[in-house]
Amino acid sequence: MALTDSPPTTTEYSITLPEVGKNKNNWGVILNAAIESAASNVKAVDDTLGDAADSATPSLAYQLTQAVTNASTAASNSATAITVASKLTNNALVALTNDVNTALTNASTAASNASSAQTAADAALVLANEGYYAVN
Amino acid sequence: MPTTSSYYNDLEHPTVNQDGDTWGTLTNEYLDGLLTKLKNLSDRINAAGVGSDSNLSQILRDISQYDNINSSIPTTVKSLFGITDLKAADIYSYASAWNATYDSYLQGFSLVPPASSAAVQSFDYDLFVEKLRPYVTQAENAISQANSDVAHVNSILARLAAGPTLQPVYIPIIGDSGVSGQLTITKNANGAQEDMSFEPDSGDHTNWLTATSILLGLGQGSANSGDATNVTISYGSLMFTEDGYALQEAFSSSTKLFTITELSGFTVVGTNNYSVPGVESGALTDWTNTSGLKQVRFAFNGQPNTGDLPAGQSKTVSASLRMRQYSQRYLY
Repeated sequence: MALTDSPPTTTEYSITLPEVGKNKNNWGVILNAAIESAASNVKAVDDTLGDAADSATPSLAYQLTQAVTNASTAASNSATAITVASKLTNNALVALTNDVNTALTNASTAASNASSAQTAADAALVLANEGYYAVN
Repeated sequence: MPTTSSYYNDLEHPTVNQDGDTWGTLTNEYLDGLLTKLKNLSDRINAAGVGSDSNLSQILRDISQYDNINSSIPTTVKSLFGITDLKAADIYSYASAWNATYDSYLQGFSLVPPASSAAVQSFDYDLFVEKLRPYVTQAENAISQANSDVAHVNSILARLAAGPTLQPVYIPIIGDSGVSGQLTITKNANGAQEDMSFEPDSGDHTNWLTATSILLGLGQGSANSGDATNVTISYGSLMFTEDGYALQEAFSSSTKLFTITELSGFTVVGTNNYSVPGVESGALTDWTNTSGLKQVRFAFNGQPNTGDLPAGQSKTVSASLRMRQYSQRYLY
């Protein structure tokens, strides 16, 4: 398939062209057919790209436009997500220290209460034993 | 002379009223060149956006993954730190100020909360844990102490609930200051058996035995005063070697049993003092030594803790003995 063939054809799409010095009575027909064939291939490429406003299909042109928008949104959201995660981490670390403090306070209170309960229980046991328990 | 295309300078078409001999060739080459460019354009468009392997498909997949990461980061961090009270309208509307300091109880903490994304990413979490650990340990210790105290209370409650049971009681002898002396613990050459001997301070021993007899209401007796070897402790028992009358007066009464409840100055495995089950009073006459003296023996429940004492060597520590009256009572 080449222009040098007889008859000549295009390198791409293999469209037949009039042959120089020949096709005396039909070169116009051959040429018109070649031009129409070329137009058909242009139309096919045009259809592949489609209308940028065609969201129903959606067209390739529309998808490309949307991809740009979506990528921009994702990039923006990513920056926000990092900030949110960082703030959550910041807040969580502080909350964790506060929780430890609360646990420490509660544990100290529990220990104090338990110690008081132990003292009271010891005293109650001594009373119950009418003093016989005190041997120390 | 052919005319160069206005759009592609590598394409030429025939000029009107010229190129009478070459217009066919020029036209064919023009069409061929134009179609070659069309094919090239078609290929590039297909590569850009047609099919699952196209660049557009790859971009859309990347954006989808980006969205997934964006969505999961806040929720993942929430999950990681156990945050449950975050009620944002959506994952991107979380609004919260940066915390600049920790709670005031962490004075001297020498750390500040990471207050930027960069600070969060470079935050030394290991150091944070290291700094916070003492406070957690303090809480753990308090909880452990509370648990211990509560267990003690529970044991008392259980005893009260179970009702009184007959238990041994060791009643202190008022005014009894005990007898002081030197306790020697010896580990045999094989290292498997320990012997103990107690050598009372001479004056203490005499005074103690005499005072004990008085306190027991038995009169002064006739203790073999001044003999520092009269009280011995051998493996598992305490032996008094005295004049038989004195021992009988002091220890053999069936209604007044006395025992040893304290042997201070060293640690016994499992308890701070010997736990004495009672007096082997009936064996009084069985233990007459070669000098005609009688012996009374007290059995012990514990063994001395010789720790790192080498085999075949002895260790002497200050110790004291104190007597308690043994009885039984119904107690809780």
